[in-house]
Amino acid sequence: MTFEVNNAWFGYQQGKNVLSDISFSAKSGEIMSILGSNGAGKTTLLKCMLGLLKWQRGETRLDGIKITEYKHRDLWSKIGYVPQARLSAFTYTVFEMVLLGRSAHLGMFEQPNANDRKIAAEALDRVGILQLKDKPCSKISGGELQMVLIARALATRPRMLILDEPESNLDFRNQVTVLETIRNLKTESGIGSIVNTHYPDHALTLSDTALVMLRDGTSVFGPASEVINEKNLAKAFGIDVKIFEYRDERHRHTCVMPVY
Amino acid sequence: MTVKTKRRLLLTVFFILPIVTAVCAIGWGRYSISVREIAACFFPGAFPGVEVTNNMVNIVFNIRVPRILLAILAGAGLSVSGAAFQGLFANPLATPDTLGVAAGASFGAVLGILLGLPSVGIQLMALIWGSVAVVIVFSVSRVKGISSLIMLILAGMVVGALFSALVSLVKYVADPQDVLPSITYWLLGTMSGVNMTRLALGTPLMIAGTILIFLLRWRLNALSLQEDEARSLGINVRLTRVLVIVAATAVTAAVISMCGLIGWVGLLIPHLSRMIFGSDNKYVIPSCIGLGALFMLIVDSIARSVMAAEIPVSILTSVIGAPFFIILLRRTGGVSS
Repeated sequence: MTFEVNNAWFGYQQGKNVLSDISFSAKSGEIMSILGSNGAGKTTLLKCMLGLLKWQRGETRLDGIKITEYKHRDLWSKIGYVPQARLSAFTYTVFEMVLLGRSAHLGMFEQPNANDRKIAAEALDRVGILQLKDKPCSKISGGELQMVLIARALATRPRMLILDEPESNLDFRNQVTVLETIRNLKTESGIGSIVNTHYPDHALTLSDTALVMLRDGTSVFGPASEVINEKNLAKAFGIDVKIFEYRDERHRHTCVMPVY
Repeated sequence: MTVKTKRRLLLTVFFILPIVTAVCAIGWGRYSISVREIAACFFPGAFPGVEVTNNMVNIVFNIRVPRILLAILAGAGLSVSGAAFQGLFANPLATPDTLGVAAGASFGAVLGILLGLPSVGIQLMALIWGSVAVVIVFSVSRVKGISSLIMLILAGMVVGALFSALVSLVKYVADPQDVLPSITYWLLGTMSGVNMTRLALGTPLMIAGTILIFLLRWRLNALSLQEDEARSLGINVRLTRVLVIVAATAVTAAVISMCGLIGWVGLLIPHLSRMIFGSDNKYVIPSCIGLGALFMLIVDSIARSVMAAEIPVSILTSVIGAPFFIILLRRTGGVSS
């Protein structure tokens, strides 16, 4: 599966572009990061590329076909969207929440059946929180809630996940849990991800490709290790940035440090 | 016993209880009728030992049965449409009247009373103006072709206030000797004097709307999430919202046209159901049908039998409902564990 955005533009007001001439392509089985500062338009970009907002110019294509030509349900059974974690007005249990991920496969008047419940339980098991299934979503931690939303997206049985700042409000340990889950989904199940983040280290460690959003609305796309460099980061965040490397037996770690 | 079997069992009880209560309610009242006599009224000849008078048959079929049917329909309908609006607006404080349907229907009815229309005419006016109010709310709330939830709620408040003012205007110009009292009485909500014609005019709409909400019950869960989140689950949010609003409006307008304004049920019963079953509308909606019918039946039976003069039912729903609700809230903290 390929997911591409071609020469796309968007602005909330006439003459003021939030996103200018964005182009990138992501493949299933790959992780792509969208890296940018607060207010750079990352969430706007996610909404536009998923068709929740309309591009003013340009297009999004999924497997070569414009996403506007897909039937709503077909599109959303191929892509799993993980929004930023927030609580809803009514407290559903973890299992009820994950079961909602089956919506795209069910008709307007259908109820989830035993098979749907099985798939939801598998999705919970996949991210390692099956033991939470009967807890109300209001009684679990922020990290756990994020995993619930990932499980809900997985219950759709998507070929690609799109995550909006999945690790932004979490502590070290929970950040690692979320990032490792995303990586495991790629290596073990071949499910690619497009991840919005404002942590350059996460983008570098996790992703194959990256789109760095600069503050003037333009962007740079390429292999993560090439485009996430000190020069682009300085442009994206407006401060001086140094990148350090640290190797252990297994991995190459990078540390991105703002200099001030 | 698994949670699922327990819930199914409870729902079954919630459907059997109103039926049992309904049979008992036929016998309750100033003129008391025994269960054997009720059976004999329904199956003449089957109980040779029981004497059935014409008076008895008249009370059972022309007074109590229509009234009991109305209580069941009103209780179930208002509870279901309350639960539907709460899910739709992702707000536990939404009521069947959030989009102004009750205010619109009241205006239609009091205008009908002022014009001296027959009771069928008054009922039709309530139905029509209830729907008109919601259509106005819908068109007012559309900005650039999109109705956001917050605009819908605000438009509902504004249109509700407008129609309430119009109701006051009608009351102001009404003849205080005979027209004003019947307007006031109608606005208080009453089930007395209902007949099969009145039921026949409202019931089909009420049942159709309830069935639609019942079928959409699982979708209501997703609808209570953020709009983008619901859309990303593959749901046609706009179409589903319109269906829920049309269904809930049909139910509420139909109920109000049959028995006037009855507050509180649409808030109390959905909350009670959520305390028992949690937030999953798959269970909350059927529970609302059963418990709403049961609650209204009990309240109406009390309204017509405790005093020689009848107590308007909306007064009783509040008097009984409010303390009951407070006790429940304090006990459970508002959610099912």
